[in-house]
Amino acid sequence: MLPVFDDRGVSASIGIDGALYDEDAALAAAYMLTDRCHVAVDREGSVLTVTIRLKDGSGGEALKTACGDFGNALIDAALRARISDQTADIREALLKRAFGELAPRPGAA
Amino acid sequence: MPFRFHRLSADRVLLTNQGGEFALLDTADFDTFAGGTVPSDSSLHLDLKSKGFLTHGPDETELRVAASQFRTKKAFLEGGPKLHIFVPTLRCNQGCGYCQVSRAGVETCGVDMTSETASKAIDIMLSCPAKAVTMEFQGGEALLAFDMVKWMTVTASERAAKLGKAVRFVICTNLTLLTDEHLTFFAEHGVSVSTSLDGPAFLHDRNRPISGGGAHDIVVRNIARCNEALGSGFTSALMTSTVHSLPHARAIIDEYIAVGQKSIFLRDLNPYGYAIKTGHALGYDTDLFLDFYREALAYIIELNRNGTFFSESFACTLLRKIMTPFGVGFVDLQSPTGEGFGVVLYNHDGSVYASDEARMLGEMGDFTYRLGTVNDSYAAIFFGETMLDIAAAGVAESLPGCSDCTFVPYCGADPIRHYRTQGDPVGHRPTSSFCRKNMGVFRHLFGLLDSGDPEIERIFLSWLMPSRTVPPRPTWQP
Repeated sequence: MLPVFDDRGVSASIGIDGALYDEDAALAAAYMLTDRCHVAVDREGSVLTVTIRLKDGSGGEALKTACGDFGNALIDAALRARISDQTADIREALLKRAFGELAPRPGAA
Repeated sequence: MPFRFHRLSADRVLLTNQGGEFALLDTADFDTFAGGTVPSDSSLHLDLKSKGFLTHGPDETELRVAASQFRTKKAFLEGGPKLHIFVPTLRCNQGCGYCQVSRAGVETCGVDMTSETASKAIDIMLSCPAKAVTMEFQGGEALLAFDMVKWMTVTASERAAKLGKAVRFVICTNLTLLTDEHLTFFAEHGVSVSTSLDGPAFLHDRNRPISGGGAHDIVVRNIARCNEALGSGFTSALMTSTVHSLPHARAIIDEYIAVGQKSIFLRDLNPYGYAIKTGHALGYDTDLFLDFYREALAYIIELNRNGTFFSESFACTLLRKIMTPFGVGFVDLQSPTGEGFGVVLYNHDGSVYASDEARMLGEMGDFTYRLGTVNDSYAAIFFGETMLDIAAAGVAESLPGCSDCTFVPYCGADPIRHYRTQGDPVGHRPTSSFCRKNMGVFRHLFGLLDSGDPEIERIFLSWLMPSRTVPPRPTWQP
């Protein structure tokens, strides 16, 4: 998942194994960079490609840092997605338990 | 169990859950937890299980407890809007550069609420299911329409009594026009006073000029009169930070203590009204406000360490959400949003808005969040298309950038602010000043709670106690 920089060093592409990280995680991680970067996410087969370009047009260390931040954000996003999947049933049960009794009962005025 | 996490630093991770419980772990413990390999005989296991982060079921009891916690956090929804803001006049005698509304001159005609409009608005307020509501008079300067304030107070009291409801009254006033007649009425009807004090004279008079000058001295003198006439706890003051305030955190707090206040609300500039027009002159970057906030909070904590009880209201709001089981009726930080769900505003012209901020937009010519008028039915106002639009963007748990955020159990959506600042009620959190400020304060408060200093937790808890005194230091060590 190492970034590949263009010849001017102002744009970086990161290939992501779709079997390891799902698209939602990649999108969530990309979203976190959108304050300072323009980010594009493309898919070809099972490979996701994320292209990162700093909004101020610079490159160098700032772009490398953005790529590193994306990698870390991707790991966190993937973990969050896993937690969400694993706890989906409990979350639903909690919501029903917490607010279900607020719903009108059949026959109630 | 479901949880969210945030890396506070390279080696500390914050966990929260829907019920508002939190845990602070080092990264090794977090990795163990996230990997599902916490030994069942470890203290980490016990700690996380007791806080509802870890289960082997879950069993019926765990579900019931977690559901109860979640429901308690959202209890502010029950009863509908509880804060009802009335604008008896738009006229004002001050010329504040950061004014959030588009004030009118003292002699301006056609900007006062009529008794017919007020009567209908009171009926709408009392139609809400809540058994107790707060009726807040704002402006303009509400004391310029004192006869209407009196009429509304008496009328609302009488009608509420017939319905078995309670109304609490608050008047927001700059206090520059205060008379003994006002004070007598406030005392007789239990009207609390909320005023503005931006700090020492050199700051207050610069931010809040008045014809003839000397606004600071008048306000300070009249806060003392209010305290004497109404008793302690009935008069509070708010400050708004301009760029001129930022270098003077300590002086501002010292001023509040000097006038007998027990707390201060360190507020940043709102992006509405005159604050927008003068934004370049008075505004600042969110990070500069956060520096100011952290410096001020450090000083306030130092004061408390030395035995002076004094709290910061924004921190209190967040800490109440973080350290107690309860939610807080603070409009900006509610999910679903407090706009329309927790607060409603009746403008001088009979327009009904989802919040004070929605009214400010209206005064700027944008009526997107006007819910209707006092001539509309309760259902048309509170279940109409505008409320549906607000609701669609008003649940933080479902917004991009918020849904996964570890602070979301304590935070809010504020769609109207995002509509104003970003042109979209959903908003873009990575560039949202609302998000940046709140995240900064959350991170700072959790950092303090994670500092290992028992005095910090003791001071924070003292701020949440009704007695509002610093409890004695414990003689034992846990």
